Amino acid sequence: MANPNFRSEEELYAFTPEVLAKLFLTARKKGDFQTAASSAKAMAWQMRGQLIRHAKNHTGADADPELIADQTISRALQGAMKMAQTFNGDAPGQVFEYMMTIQRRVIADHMRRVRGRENIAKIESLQAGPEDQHGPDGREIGVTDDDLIAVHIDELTDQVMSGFRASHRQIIHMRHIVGYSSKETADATGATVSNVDKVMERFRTALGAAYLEADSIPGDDSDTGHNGAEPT
Amino acid sequence: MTQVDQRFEQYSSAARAGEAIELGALLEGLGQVERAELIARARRFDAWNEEASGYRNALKTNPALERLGRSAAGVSGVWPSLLPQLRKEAGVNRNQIAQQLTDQLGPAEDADKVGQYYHQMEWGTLPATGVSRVVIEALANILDTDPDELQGAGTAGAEEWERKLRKAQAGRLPKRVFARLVGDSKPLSINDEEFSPPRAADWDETDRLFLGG
Repeated sequence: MANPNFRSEEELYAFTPEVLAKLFLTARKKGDFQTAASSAKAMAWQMRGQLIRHAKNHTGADADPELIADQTISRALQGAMKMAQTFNGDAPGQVFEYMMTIQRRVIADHMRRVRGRENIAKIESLQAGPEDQHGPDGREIGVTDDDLIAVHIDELTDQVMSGFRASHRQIIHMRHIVGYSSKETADATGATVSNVDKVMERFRTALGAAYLEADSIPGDDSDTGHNGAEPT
Repeated sequence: MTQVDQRFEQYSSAARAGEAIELGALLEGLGQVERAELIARARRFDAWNEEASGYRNALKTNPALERLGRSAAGVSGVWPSLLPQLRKEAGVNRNQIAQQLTDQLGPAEDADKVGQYYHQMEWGTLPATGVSRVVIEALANILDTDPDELQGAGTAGAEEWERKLRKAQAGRLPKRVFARLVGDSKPLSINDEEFSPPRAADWDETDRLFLGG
């Protein structure tokens, strides 16, 4: 992906954490302190809600989830600053997974400080434990057929998106989730409109195939099909 | 572009423009799967839009976010973010830290000067590489943290970053410009223009502790 284009700090929020991480590392490498600050802030805010929710689920009443989340972000930033010195320009991997690894250490440190040795067993179980079960938007799951199918589609969307490379995920994120037009997406990502449309066409085809591959969509008794899912 | 795409774009562009729009009307005439897809996308967009709106607000009002910007851009590593967090956890304010730090470093130190230097550590304008191990250990003791970790938090990539910043700005760091670029609001109340590190020849013991490494 070409360099992201943005006119303000606010606009940076439409980029994925992976693109923001690359932007930050490149800015630190070049000595561009304004972009380093802006990209770090946008990325941190994108992560913060999920980190707070995770901290709430994995700490006791004596912990402050917001403080744990903020300490996680500080440590992640510290790691990224070190990384920037040898950054070779490749897109960073999954930022959220990286943050989760750091947060487990922050929580473990917190427990050690507050409760002492008797918590070691709990820390070990935490490190091996499942992630929280909240969806990406943190909303409650509804119970109507439409809602159940919507949740299913949401999961399929994530699954299909993860099969695309980072620059294409950015395009899909802007078009499919943020609601940018093809032109807005092209302007922000530095891609051409036709490239954006091609990526979206591939995404829709893949999503359609995923619909068809799924054995059963809960509550789906319609035969209307999906626009991108027509068998060829 | 599919019908769902068109309706979703209608929904999201109206919402981004701050216009009220009912999803229900947009669902009319769609099959069940298409309807569910539009609901899924609208929900996800709503969640994103709410976060984005929170972010726009936080940029103007959230001190932690501004401190993070100072960490990312300044010459004190992540101290601008981390030190206030450790202070909060330890239940002490900035004035108390400055006083305790002065007490631990020695009664002969200039308490005001120690306070100013500590502020620069939180502000992101004091090069972390210049802060002596004596100061780091005293601070770690007050904040109940590991001195190596505290030092690492300040010096992560700091030397190279400072060199690049100085090169990019051809000389000393212009503090007022720096402050303006990383955030208009200044939740910490010190006036930067009052702080100007002396030349090495004029250093006293306190200066050496915070500038001499």
